[in-house]
Amino acid sequence: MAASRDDRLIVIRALLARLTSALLASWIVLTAVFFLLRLLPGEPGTIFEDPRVPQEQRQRLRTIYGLDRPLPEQYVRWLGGVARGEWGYSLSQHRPVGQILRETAPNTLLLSGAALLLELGLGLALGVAAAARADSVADRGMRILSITLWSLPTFWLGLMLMAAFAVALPLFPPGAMRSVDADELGLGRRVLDLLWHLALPAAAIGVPAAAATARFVRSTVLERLGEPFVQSARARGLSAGRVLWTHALRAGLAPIAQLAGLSLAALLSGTIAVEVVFGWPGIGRATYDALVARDYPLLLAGTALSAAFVLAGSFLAELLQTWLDPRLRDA
Amino acid sequence: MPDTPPTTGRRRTRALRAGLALLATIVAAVALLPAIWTRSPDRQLDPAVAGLARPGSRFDVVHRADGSTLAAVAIEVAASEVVLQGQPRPTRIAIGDLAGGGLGPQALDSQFFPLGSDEFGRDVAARLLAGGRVSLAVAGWTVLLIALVALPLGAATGSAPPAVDRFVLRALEGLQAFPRLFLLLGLAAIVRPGVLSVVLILGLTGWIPMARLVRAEVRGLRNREFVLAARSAGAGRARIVLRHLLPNALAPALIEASLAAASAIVSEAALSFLGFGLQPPAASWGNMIADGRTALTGGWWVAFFPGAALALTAIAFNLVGEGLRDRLDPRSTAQPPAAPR
Amino acid sequence: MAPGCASHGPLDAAAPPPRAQPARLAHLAIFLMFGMIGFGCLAMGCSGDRPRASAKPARPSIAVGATIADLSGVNELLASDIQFTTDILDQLFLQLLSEQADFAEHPPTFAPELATSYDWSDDHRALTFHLREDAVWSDGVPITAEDVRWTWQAQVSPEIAWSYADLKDAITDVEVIDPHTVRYHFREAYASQLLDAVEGKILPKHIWSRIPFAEWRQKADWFRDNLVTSGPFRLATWRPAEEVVLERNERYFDPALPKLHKVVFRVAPDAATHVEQLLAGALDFACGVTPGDGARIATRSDLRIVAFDNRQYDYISWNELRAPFDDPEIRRALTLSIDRQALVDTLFKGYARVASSPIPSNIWAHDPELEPLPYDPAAARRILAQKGFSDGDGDGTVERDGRPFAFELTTNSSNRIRTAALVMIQEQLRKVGIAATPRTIEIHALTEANTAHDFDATVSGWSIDTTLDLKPYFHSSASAGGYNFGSYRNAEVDRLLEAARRAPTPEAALPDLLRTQQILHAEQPYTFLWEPQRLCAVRADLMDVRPNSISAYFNLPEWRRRATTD
Repeated sequence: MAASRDDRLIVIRALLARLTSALLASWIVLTAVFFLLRLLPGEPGTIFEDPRVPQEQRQRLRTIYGLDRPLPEQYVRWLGGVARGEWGYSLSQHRPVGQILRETAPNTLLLSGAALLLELGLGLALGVAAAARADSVADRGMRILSITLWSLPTFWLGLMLMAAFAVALPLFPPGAMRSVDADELGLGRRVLDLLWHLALPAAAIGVPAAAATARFVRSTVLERLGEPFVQSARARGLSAGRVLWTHALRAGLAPIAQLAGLSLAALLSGTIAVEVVFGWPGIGRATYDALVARDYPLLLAGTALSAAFVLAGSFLAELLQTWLDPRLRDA
Repeated sequence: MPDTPPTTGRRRTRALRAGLALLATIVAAVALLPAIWTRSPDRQLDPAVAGLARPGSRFDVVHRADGSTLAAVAIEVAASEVVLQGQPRPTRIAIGDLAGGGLGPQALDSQFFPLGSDEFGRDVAARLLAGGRVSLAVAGWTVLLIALVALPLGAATGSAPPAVDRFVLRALEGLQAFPRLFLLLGLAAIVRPGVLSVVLILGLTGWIPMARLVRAEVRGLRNREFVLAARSAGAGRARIVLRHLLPNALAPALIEASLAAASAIVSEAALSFLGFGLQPPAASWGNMIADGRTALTGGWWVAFFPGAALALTAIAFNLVGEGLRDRLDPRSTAQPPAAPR
Repeated sequence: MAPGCASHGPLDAAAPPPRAQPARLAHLAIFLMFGMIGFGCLAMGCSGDRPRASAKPARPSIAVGATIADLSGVNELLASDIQFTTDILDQLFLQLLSEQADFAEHPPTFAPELATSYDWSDDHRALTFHLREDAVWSDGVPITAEDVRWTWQAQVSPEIAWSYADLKDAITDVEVIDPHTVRYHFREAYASQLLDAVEGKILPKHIWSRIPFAEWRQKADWFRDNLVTSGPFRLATWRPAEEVVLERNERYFDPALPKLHKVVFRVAPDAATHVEQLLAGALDFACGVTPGDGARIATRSDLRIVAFDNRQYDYISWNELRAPFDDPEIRRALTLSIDRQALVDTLFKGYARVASSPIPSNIWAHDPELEPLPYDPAAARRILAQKGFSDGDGDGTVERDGRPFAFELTTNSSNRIRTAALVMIQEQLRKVGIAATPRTIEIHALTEANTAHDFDATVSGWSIDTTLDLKPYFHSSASAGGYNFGSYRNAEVDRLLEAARRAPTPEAALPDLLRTQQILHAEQPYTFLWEPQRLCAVRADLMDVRPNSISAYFNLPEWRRRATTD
């Protein structure tokens, strides 16, 4: 098996080609979104809603923000700014969009990351457990449970979790990212405080995703177990457990890594609703607020950033898959 | 000899049957129950008394001659008046002021709230049924739209020359990178909200997975013997696609359709929940959950029941999808691929 | 999870049932996850988000509250678009005089703030303020007349484009007489001179003049990093989308104020969570509580509700470009068909009043003779019959000339009370034979539709300011592109509104305003619905909380906790 560097290079080149074309497609969509946003009824920013502000004043503001230039010119300026790393100025928060993104992106990544960990951890555990007991009563029970959990709408699950575990039983905080005097706590307690606030929102996103992952893990593992190299390992007398772990799971990690990357898109979609329900200060909520306030620069930047996360996630997943796929490794 | 996992045929159809049964129950309930449970989803019964009533509450109702209606926890009939208990203060109404001038059924009535009421005294059960009709209709039409768009596009891409196919595939991947809810929100804010516009935007943002699936199927089957045989027999491209490739792609497409329905109904609810989908006062499961959000402490049932209905419907669609996958797409159960039909 | 027995898994072919490592791993993973959560929960006491300070009276006094909106900026000229920002900036910066909320009986009076006194010239075209000498910025630099003059220049600068710059139109110059005396020169004498001069916070010239006016809009965040303030509080922390923390300004000229050491506003866009946190003891106050929650909180002994008047009223605007809304008697009939008191009782549980005029009843210029039109569906039916409406086909809706009296009633979807009102109004109108179809629309789309007169009838609301200028709503010139949605036209009202604006004093405008209200009452371009109160829920040991119609946090410096000594 000459799984040589040449093979690796070919694969990497293919990956890069995929990434470039995906970026191209994203740029096209972003352009379309830019122009579509202008179809949004209403003027940007709430200032235009106040009847006491005279027309000349509104016109002056429009000029200052460049909103009265022809649309193609606005687009070119925006694109130029983006190339320089300047995402423009938020019309509702009155500060650079880049700053807002820098503040909110880590919070969303934190939430998505926690949800992803929960998804993978719980999903792997349940999936493997189900595979080990394929077709038993427990397996069927887990299947029904999985389908149930995975069908639950995340925003509703978040709301119910909040009602049950933050309101009825005050075990967790009803929203926000940290407690009032979090600043005065030491580092250790601050981390715990963060985890405590993270628990419910991450569960709302992660548990349904974990159920879906568990199904996928189960079928992947079972599939691998049917393959010749596993059979031969069994025939060589290795214990079932060892076979499961060293061969089947390792082989199955590649598609699982791919799943992780793809999950990112679903997770990020899920975060908007959860961030709004729990008041989590992340990109989803900022983008939603921007939509409500017709804050175009922030809206565009938020959408672009989310798409970038997703692309990065799937690219990463592809890389991982390549690295983990035993067919590309030396024997 | 490879091991064949012993999932028996009997077990394989259980999920499908369960899913179909659940779906049928839900659709039947939503379609038929309103004939029995005729209460209007918009009627507000005396919110001061009957607002945020627990599931299973019953109220005595008094109709006055001037057309207004009052609710009470209990009614005492005295000589010349009725006394309503449970109002902010005991309210006395002269019998002459009652509708119909007396104590007949026009004047005295009772109302039962099996699933409770919201803060404006509206019956949650009635709203659940009305909302269900809308939400299910939206899901159904959306899947139809997705199929109409994805099947031809997927087949076309799958049977196109490799360069075109690769390009389109990358484009689709790029498009799929956008989190669907962001796109939904943006589009929903532009258009005038309503069933048609929601169906359109759900369909236009959700067709890619099915298109990719169809494309993969068509592409995979292109070089099979039966296709080559048909081509050498002189069959045209379109004929091959329509008669040979597409029917084989229908099975995975059907599975995907079921999953897409689950996704559509949840997405519509999310959209309405965030304020951009179907608008109140018309009920939809999503905006009922939004309404219930503010009443979460005083009335968990307002948000719980529509959400549970939503979850059950999504479960039903997913069960059907899983069941279909068991039956029609054996690859996923680690058996060698079935021979083409 | 016992292996063996009924399982026919592929592993069982030749080996004993697996005590598989994966199963143990699975257990470990699950245990770790819940352990993590549980441990974190235990560490925090599992008892809700409790601020520590209220448990230990020895510490400086703190109050924690909630807000739906976040602060949108610290520079008033760039970011005065939302009420909460104005409320906070009121605590951070000083104005020359502070408008008092005592305008129930007479035009508002002004209390000294930065200026201790003022006097007029004989021709009333020059206004001189005498500034207090002990006012300093939070960095120790004294506040002088130079700050006042420079602030005026910024307020009227076209490059900064402050939204309310037109208020300063009549001011020709602001002259520095000496470091603590400043004179405003007006082009002419008119009613709201004092109000116009005083409007706007005084900004720190010595720091903020470093940025040229032309760059202000692009550098709004610079002001946040270079913030010096003069008010009773200073901005200690601002975490966008999370919290705004105010702390006592030790350099404030009144050493007795503020009484609280720290006030924390937690940003929680979901009003429902405010109530949750209040009930759980995590918050000390929350303004903007709904009437339904208000009723619930009022029964608790550890919380109280403070209801206060607003300057707001809600209404139905009838589009007079569409028949039959062009007929004032039909509009009158519509108002008679709507039971506004029932709406108020149901939707506000007593925390509102039926409205009758565009000047709310808690303002001095409200016409006290005006009574809201009664609820009289019988009279409404008579008027409709007189006008030729009858139900020929017995479908429950009246028609005239073959056209049924049916229309669409819109409002903004974000306002739950108005949305619920739509349904109730629909029901009430149905009883007189009018078919109204409710439709909720997102606020921006709604405003656009309304300004373009693309609606039948819409439910909305206005907040009136103390200049009592009704021109933007009822003057015929405000119909095109302005906020006179219904295109109401009345030449006499036009004349009266213009005369009111030109009146030399607010009292002199009163007869015109009274007459205007009477005409509007007769012609019903709006069906006036209600004047809602606002509610603050406050913890029992938080004293002296007196919100008013200028700001919910008007007397924030006087708030105190019962445990502390004053």
